[in-house]
Amino acid sequence: MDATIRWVLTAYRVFGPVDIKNIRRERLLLGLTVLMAVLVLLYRYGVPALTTALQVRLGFDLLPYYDLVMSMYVGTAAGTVGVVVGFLLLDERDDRTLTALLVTPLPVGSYLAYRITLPLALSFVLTIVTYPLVGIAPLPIVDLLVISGLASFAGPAAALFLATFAENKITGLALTKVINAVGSLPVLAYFVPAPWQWLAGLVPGYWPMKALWLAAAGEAYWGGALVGLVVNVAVVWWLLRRFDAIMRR
Amino acid sequence: MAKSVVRVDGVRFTYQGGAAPAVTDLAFEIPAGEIFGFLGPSGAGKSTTQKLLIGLLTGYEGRIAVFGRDLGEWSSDYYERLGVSFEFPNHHLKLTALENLDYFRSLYTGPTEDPRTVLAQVGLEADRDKRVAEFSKGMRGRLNVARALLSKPELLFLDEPTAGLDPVTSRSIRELIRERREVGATVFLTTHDMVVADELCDRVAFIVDGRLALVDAPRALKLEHGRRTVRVELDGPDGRSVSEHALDGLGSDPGFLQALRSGRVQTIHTQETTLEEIFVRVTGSALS
Repeated sequence: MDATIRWVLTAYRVFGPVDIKNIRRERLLLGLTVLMAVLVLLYRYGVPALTTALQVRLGFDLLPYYDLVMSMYVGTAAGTVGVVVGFLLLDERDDRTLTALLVTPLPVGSYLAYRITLPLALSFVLTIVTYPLVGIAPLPIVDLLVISGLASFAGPAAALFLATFAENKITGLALTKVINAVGSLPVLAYFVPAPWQWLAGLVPGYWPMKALWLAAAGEAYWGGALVGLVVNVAVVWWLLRRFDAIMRR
Repeated sequence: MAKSVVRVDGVRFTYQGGAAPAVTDLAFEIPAGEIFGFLGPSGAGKSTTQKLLIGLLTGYEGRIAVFGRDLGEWSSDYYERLGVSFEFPNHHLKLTALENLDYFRSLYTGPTEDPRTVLAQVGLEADRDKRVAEFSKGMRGRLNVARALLSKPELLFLDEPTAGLDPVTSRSIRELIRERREVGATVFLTTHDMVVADELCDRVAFIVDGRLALVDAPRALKLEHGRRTVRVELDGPDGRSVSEHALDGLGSDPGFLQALRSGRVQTIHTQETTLEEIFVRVTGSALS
């Protein structure tokens, strides 16, 4: 087996159990993990209940906006995974374990590969599994694969954003609000006509939302998805470079 | 002299954006099996030198070779042969001491020590299942040392390994360092503690303002910088009296002989100096 792959697998084998222990022993992280399950229930049962209430009390029909509602879900789910991993990274920075790691035989690249691919994979799996569980705006599996793939970049992006810009866990909590705000902002683009709507494309989280809106409307989304992939990879790459520099300080 | 494990030649390093080099004209060798003490005031370049040697800083001028190979030629397998104990503790606070060591041990591919063994060696065996968050600063420092020993290192970097320790624990850590030398390990010891440096180090280097001020064995330094005299304290009816006599010709020095015969001798000390005094003199003169 290629040495690089072997080291990345070692990183998964070694850091995986450490991360699980750290999450289990930190109330905040455990809470965020539980929040993800709550989110599924909230969207599955809360949104239909809200739709009925709005219909009865205000005569407003939320049903045509379920694609918008689910685009918010997709962004939040992946972002929450990223915040959990981001706090693990902040812990590692606060505890200075990253410095200790630099003087072990594990190549730094393997560690970084683990730290990027873990939230990416978790966000992807979480989105693709829980979207049908929510079940209020079903999509064909191919569309869901593309949308989950694009949305999953919010995982490493949020994690690296926290680890790069937060001084410690206190400022990390404050920055979580920034992540939520930036992650939700592209929702507004739903109400803005093209070409002005494309301005929202500067925010990486816009692209999975846009793909979802187009897919729900039965329109082609491949071009946008491709641009979204480039934007998301570029943002994660930039954050990764910054984090790498901080790690070596 | 044994084969050099570390060879540093004309090394100069400036941090990005730094006005002046952090270290300059560094040149020294450390033979296999030596405990090499690296001493100097805060900000003199001790940490920079250690970071250069363990490969955390690159982009230096000059040459650094470790185990006979240029540092730049080593890949991450360099760290299979190294043990590094940083000055500041760096452990997962929510994990226990044993979990921390188990985790680090699994990053090595070569033979390693049993974490329980190294925990016992630093006196933390009874605390192995405690979370590190519950550890005192001294205990965390000892865990640093324990982790540095995990890989059975040929070259051990220890930064202030006895800082904040009680005298008994400090002694056991010093004993542990000596044991590593006995089994052939080379030790690069950074410390402010002159007693530790004097007791443990085969040679010491003083770094001041990024330059090596002197490198020698502690004994040679103390003799060179001290006075070749003996100081005698006598207790008498008129109180305490002190006299000093040259070592050369001491056996025929009438004053010294008279003092010995008086039966009132309280203390006799040769006047070689201490490392601490040399440290103050060397760093003080350089700073003035």
